[in-house]
Amino acid sequence: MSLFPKVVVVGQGIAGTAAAWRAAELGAVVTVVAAGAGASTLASGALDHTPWEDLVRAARTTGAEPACGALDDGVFAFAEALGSWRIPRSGEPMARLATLAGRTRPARGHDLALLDLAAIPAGTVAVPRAPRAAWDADSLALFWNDDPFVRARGLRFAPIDVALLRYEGEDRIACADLAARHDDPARVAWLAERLKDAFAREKLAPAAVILGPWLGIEAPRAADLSSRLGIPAGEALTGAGSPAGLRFARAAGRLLARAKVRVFSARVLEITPPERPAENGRFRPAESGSFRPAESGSSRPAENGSLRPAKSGSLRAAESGSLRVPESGRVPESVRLAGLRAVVKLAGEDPLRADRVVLACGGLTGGGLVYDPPDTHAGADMPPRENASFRFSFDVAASGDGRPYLAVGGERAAFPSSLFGPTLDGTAWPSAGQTGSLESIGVALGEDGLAADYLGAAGDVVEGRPRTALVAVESALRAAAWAAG
Amino acid sequence: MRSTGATLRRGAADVDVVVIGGGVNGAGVARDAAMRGLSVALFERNDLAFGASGNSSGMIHGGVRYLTYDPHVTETSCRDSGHIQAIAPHLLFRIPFLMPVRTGLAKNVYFALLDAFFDTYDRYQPLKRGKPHAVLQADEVRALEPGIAGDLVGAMSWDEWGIDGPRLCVANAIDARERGAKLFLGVTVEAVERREGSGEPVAVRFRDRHTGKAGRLTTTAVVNATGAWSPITASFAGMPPSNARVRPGKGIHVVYDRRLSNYAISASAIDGRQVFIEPWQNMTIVGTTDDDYYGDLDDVRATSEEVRYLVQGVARVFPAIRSARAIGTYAGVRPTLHTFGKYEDALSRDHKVIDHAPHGAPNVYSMIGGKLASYRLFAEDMVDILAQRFDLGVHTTTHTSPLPGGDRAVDPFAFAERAGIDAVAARRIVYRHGSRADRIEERIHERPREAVTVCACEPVTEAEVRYVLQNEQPRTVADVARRTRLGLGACGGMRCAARCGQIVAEELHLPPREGLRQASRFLLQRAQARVVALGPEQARQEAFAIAAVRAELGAGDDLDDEEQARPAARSAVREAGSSQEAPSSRDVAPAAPGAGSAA
Repeated sequence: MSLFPKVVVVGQGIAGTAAAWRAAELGAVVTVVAAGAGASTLASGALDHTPWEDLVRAARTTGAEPACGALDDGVFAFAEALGSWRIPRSGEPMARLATLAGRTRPARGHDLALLDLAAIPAGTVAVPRAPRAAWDADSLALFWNDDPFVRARGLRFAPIDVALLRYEGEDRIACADLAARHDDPARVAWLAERLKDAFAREKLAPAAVILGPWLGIEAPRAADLSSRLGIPAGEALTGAGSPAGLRFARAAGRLLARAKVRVFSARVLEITPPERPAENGRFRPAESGSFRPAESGSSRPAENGSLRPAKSGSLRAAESGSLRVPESGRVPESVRLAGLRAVVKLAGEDPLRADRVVLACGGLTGGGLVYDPPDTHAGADMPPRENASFRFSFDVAASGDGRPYLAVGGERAAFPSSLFGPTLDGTAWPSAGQTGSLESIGVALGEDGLAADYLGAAGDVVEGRPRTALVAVESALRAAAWAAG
Repeated sequence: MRSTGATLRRGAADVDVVVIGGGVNGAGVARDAAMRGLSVALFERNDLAFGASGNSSGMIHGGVRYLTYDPHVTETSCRDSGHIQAIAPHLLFRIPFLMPVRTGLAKNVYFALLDAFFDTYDRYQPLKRGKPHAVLQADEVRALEPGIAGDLVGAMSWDEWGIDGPRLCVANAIDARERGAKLFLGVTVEAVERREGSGEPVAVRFRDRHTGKAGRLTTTAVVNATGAWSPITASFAGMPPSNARVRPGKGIHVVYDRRLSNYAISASAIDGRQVFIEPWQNMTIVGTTDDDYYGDLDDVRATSEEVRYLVQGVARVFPAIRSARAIGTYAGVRPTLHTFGKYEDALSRDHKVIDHAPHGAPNVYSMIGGKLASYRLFAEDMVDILAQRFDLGVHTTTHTSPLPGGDRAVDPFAFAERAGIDAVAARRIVYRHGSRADRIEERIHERPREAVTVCACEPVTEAEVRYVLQNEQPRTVADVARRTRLGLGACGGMRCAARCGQIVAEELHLPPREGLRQASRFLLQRAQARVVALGPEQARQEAFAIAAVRAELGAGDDLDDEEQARPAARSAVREAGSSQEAPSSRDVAPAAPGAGSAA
């Protein structure tokens, strides 16, 4: 087994899933540890590479519609493997999604259940009325019809009466619950019949039909509905807590199962680096920030084979004797050969040992990082005068130059602060063209592209590009290539 | 000081009185004057309760703090608080207070003195149907309020009334309108024209801040009830600002997501000032600061340092406040009577009417000072002067005539059942609207889909949002929030702001994109008010809200693209500043009900 590097991925959002899948494809033995819902599970189903608002701003300046740019090939492969995303190829028109706020927005890709307005010829888009809180068909039609894209494309949203709620109480259940009921093919068939009846009754031949976020949880059911109706059918985009996020989570679970990736539902308590040889040539556990990797060959002890691993590493020494050493590997060869692995301690589970660990735990939304200002622990006293306000939600021992640390937008985190703590007054929310500090705090990468020599990181916030799912995938593919060495 | 000259003739101009300022004093004067038969126009440049009235501690307290140096204020506060209770019982709720006393040198003596002090306050309590104070021993305090820290001698407990300030303002303004007053909300007075020679007011020139439309309304008298804006308003009337001088004192509050304590608890801040934590409606409020403020009155915000000052003070008696979830802050500027050199807290909370006749401007008055609890009396004092000038001979009845919704009680549970809505939502509607909740119920019966919830945090139903839009003259999403508390909960409006924007645009016949623009502006304003008080949980919620709002609505700065066809107009808007205040170059005159066009 030890022919293959052992990789632990922390987090099962978009970045974690992509990293685990790719690393497994490259031959690594991968374990994913995930503690619950994060940004990806709560996401809207829109997939951006550049924040769409920047595209709209640019389009206003240049006067040209935003177009699909090039993406890493691996992104398309991942989308295909996942099976619930559609990403237009470079040069194809960008997707255009209608949002529940009452406007449309471009997207580089999207969850398959969402209706892409760019793919619809001019004509009427039916908006079925439903007595549900966030779905006022008349209001939405009015607002969407006012959207410049809709007018330019010659689309017209028309509310129609359709009794699309089948059972009592469906006017009040959560969108995700209604979506789950449409996992039943019979329900989708029933819905299609209701819609067809309504079209016939109103003598309407719509070019498409748009619904609320109700079309499936196990998989996007829009294609099924669409083929039954003979016209495109799909959901409007919901920003918060949409079924699209749940569909991603299900698809991700299936993908990882197929890739034979073990998934632990547990919270990470601590990550410790592989044990290190000390200056005197003897192994000892690395302590936070205490070890500086020596550059000279003399401190690479495994080459002469004379060094004994420290106690906790000894269990793995035998099995890693025949390690395949990657040419580009950044884990010191000595450590690999000695089999001294990083340890990922979990709550309620045995610790995991890994050659390499990939942090894909997201930013604040993901829960991997927490905002923990000094005031919180001050009790009746004055808060301590320090500014370390963001931290990992687990302990992660630093190695080498003190990494890993946190960063905003790729730059080492530095927040405006007073004597008593951070002053996020002007920076927390994004402002024109600038990401907000709360959404962009992430794991910092060194010049080598790693958080520490045994620790990679992936995700949109790691790249300093919050709210860009496809950047998260690209970043995960790079991390996977490193991890699988 | 009384204006000299002949008695004023009613009906000589478009209106008898122009009231400038839509705070509780302005709305109170408009109501009282309209009830006594004067024709009134009320101008408010922002919205009803935009300033101090809507950003107070949410109490009409008897002013126990003023008892030692201003007993007159305590008495008038208590008396008027009793009147408010009689005319708007639906808006009031009891807030029992605790003042814990720590063990220490001579603290037993202090405790006894405190008891005697509250004995004095008890004499005023019957005026406002308050209960006498109670002396609690340490173990009793622990049982009643387990969150209090430290070794205690005991605590004093006394009784105050809580109220929703914006609702009180709106109720007064709506009642005034129903009695013939015209309300011009979002309309700023740019100048008071005065007759050369006599200096009497002739007319006000005004401009609608949403549409840019200007107009002129002739009037016989002008009342400046603009609170902290008073000196500026005086200058619009061609007088030196110092003729209507106030000592502007900024006060901030921090809002928490639930009721954290059973009692309001007073505490001392690091500088010895009294601060408090108060369970209020469905949340908790921590307040307040009092600092001289000379910044932009239209954009007053709390800072994180002010928040830390308050929280640190409260944490000394109630340490759990550190780990509670702060979901917002708000700030206002008190218009206290001007005294130079005094410490802010020592300033009198009394009120007075300035007659500007000695300044060469007869029939122009400024209302300075005052507090929420005695707004009605202040309005009465003002209108008594007007009544004399117009020779009306009518006394006020504002203390006996119920405010809208205050005429009878509505059972929220029966209401919930009849309307088919959630009991919590029903309770909130009945609180805000009193007997007028029936009108919201009628809407739900006529249009059942309006029973849906728009804002889940508060909660607020669609029927209430539409009712408020049709009847209470809001012009923006933020105005609706002020009247219904929509979007002020933990989620920061991420689920309701856009929907509310849609409804606002529909009801007020605004272009759809204006509704979205308003929603995005509201979200940004709310975010700015929250981020100064962030803790761990709310920070995560903020990051999530940013993602949700940006996925669905965007930043809102691209919503002007209809104007793409007119690049010149667009760049002009750009240069004028941020999209926040970009004047719309389209004509979006909202046919706001009751806002008579006098232009």
